[in-house]
Amino acid sequence: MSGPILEVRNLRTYLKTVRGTAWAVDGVNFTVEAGKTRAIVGESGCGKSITALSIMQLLPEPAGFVDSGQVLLDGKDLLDLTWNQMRDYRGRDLAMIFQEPMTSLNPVFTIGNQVAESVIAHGGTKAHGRTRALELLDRVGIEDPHRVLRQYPHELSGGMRQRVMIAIALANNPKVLIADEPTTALDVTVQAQILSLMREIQTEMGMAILLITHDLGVVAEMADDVSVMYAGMVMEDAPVREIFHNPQHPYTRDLLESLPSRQSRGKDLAVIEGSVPSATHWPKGCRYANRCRFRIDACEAAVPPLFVRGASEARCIRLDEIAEKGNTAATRIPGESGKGVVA
Amino acid sequence: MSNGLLQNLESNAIPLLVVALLVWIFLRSRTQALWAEAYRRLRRNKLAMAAVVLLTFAGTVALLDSLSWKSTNSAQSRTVLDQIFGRADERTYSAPMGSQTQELNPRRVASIHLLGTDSVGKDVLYQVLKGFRTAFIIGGFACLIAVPIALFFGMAAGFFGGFLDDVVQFFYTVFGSIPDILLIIALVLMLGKNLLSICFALGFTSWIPLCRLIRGETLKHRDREYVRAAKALGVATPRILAKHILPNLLPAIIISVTLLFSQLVLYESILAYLGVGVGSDTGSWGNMIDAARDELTRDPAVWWPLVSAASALLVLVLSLNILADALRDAIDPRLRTE
Amino acid sequence: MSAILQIENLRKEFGARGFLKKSAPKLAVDDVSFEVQEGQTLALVGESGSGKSTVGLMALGLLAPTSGKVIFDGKSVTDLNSTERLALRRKIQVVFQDPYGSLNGRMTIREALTEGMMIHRLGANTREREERAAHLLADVGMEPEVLNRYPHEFSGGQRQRVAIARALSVEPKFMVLDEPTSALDVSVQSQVLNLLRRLQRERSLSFLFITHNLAVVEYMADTVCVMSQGKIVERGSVEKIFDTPEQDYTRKLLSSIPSTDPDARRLTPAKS
Repeated sequence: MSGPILEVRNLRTYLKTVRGTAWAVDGVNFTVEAGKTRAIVGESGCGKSITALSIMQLLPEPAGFVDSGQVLLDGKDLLDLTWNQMRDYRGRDLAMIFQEPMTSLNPVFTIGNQVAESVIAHGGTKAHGRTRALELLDRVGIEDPHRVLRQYPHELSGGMRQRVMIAIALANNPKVLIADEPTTALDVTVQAQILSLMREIQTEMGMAILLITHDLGVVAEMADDVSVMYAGMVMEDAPVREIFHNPQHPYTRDLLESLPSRQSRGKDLAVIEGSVPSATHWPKGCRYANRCRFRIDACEAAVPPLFVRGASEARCIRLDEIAEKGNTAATRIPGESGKGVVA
Repeated sequence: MSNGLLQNLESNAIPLLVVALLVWIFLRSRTQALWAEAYRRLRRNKLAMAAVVLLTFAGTVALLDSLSWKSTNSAQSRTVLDQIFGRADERTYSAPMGSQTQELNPRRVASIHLLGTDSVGKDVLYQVLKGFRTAFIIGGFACLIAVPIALFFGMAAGFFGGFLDDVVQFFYTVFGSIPDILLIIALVLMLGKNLLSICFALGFTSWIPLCRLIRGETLKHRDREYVRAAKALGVATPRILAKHILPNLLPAIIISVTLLFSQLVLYESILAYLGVGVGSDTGSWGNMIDAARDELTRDPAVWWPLVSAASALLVLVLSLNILADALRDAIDPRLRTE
Repeated sequence: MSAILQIENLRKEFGARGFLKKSAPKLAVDDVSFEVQEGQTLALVGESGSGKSTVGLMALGLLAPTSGKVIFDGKSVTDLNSTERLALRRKIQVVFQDPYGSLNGRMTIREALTEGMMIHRLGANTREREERAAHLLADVGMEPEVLNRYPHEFSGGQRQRVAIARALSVEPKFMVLDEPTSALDVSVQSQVLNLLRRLQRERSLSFLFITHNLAVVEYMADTVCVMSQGKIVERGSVEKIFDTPEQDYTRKLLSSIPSTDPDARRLTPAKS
């Protein structure tokens, strides 16, 4: 199992808004290796969900458009496909699960109906759909699948619904599972079960997972590779160990330092001052420059390319200097943020 | 003319006050950021602006028909509109733009009647314009009766819930099951066939959908965190209702009241058609349409009173509906959050 | 050190009520007791449906308990007359989770911040109240110019700051924080947590911190009560709960927290 199964190249996606054209995804590159998990992590509004929707070509209509780039699944560019061709891929080779399992299931159909539907949609017979549905529900750890088949979404708990969503996604043995904040709406104990289930199924079926999340804990638990997104761009792309033990980009560092923990008790947490620039008017330099503690004038000249440092790649022109400083001591003065500036 | 107007100030006080109130509300709301924003959005909507222009025209006509004074040559007080159209009636029908009557001995009509005249020779345009005042009075007064009732019961039921909610719901479910039209007819027959009693009858029967809406919205806001936070601050219940919840209901109320207004205007015509409309001395499109029934059977058909009255009705109701739709887009907070 | 808030045997049943219908009441909070010490933070931890927010509402006096007592500053909250109740309102304030729902969209920041002062007669006149409001904004790290703006013009973190300023406007001694950072991004969460810690220090506030986020608890709390299905299953200092949990439920909860070290995964074994 080697080589990328999914490759996203220079993806640019814009949304038409009342304030103008918002470049929500602005030149994103990453690869997902077969059987591995790639996490895309970032804060709200960084473009991580739009990236996922661009790959599935399920952008909000009529406002969202992929401008340019390639989405290569097994070497085939999905962006070249017609709507009908893409429909064949969706749910078969590429499956997706969402944050809110309540609204992703249709409340007026039984669970059995909806799981079988995903089999039938890709050429299965009705009888096959039903037996397969049973099999799938059993596979995602639902006890008494016979009963659940006849139930409606509202009769299930959040965790059970997410299991059903995973069952639907698995119906046609997808090559890539895109999971957009799959556990954000769930309690922490249920989240633990769902994450374990995803990992288990991945090992068993060998599918790749593209995990979209804001939760660094989920990333640390699940990911093999990580893309840290900020303001429509990938700021850092590295193996998961590097991200957590040896972060390169100032943004990645700041994010990790702002996590509360036992060690930081009694001390102020690191904060990121200022706010994300507007997607309708990106600055011409580094997009993190206005909030970055390592900013120099050169940062604002042009968007930095991805520089390679070891196994990591990061979009910052001062990687080497920062690495030295970062090793000497925590250079930042702890303090709490302060500006209530309205964008 | 203005001299006469001033002399009869007391009889003109109400329409002038209403206009002053509307202007004051408009100017005041302009100074509040949220409403000013809504106006800006409304102004961008060309169709809505056309509707606003038409409504302003209709309102002006209604106002001109409400300001009246006694002139020297008649003991009856006459409105501005009466004075403008103060010319001789024809003796019978004349077609729109017509220069001849349909009598056996043709003669020149006294002046051109833009929309013709009806069976007794009255100018149709004049009658159509007279209808605006009636429409506004019916819509306005009935809303003035319906909105407070709906607000009172809707907010009380939604906010306090419990037994009170059960009682209010039960009451409007039962009340809403009686056919409106029967209730209105009964009320009109009881109160007498005049403008005011029709307003009462319409007002008392049209508050239910609004009340339902207000109850639902109040229920939604009651458990919002900002209401809880206000309670935690010690804000008293009446103030929570008036200062916290009511302003959040206003967008929904304004939109539905605009729609209610247009429905009430339509209702007036239906009532007139059923013979329980405003008296024949009050200009009304319903009366015109009712009268036109017989005239359509003549040969050649006398269609212009019917078409004129129906068109005026259509234009007013359509403008109101367009405005309501545009208001929804302009002030709906859900669209604003992002 | 003394207890500022004592909760004794608190119980709350919710009954589905109707005109001609009746159904079995649901027990949301079952015999809950704890004390919050002055100047300290007690965290109430639990998953959704554990009853932790219901306890918060009862502590605030916004929800009447079915039985049990809430004692604030030595006085039972349930037996107060209306004047005493209003005085109590001033002392206990709340910050909720949803920064979009906790501010009235039709009130300016100025109105939101001065309303409480008006009710409790803080500040002699409008002008003085506005000055205090401006100070409060500065205190939570916002600029006083925003007074005339409406909540929809602000980001989630900024709204949460305004909500905190509003709570502070009546100079409380005790604050119920109901998931105050759950809807925020981590970088914003750290700002709000820093702010809360500083305010606690400067104003010697006591906090009842209701949350499901155990990392935040570990950072913020002095004492922890773990709730499940309406009951407190375990209580103790942060160290005790996190290092030597005694109950199975607590252990399960703790083992569910994702690790932030990919070499020490808790939920999913690292693949070879």
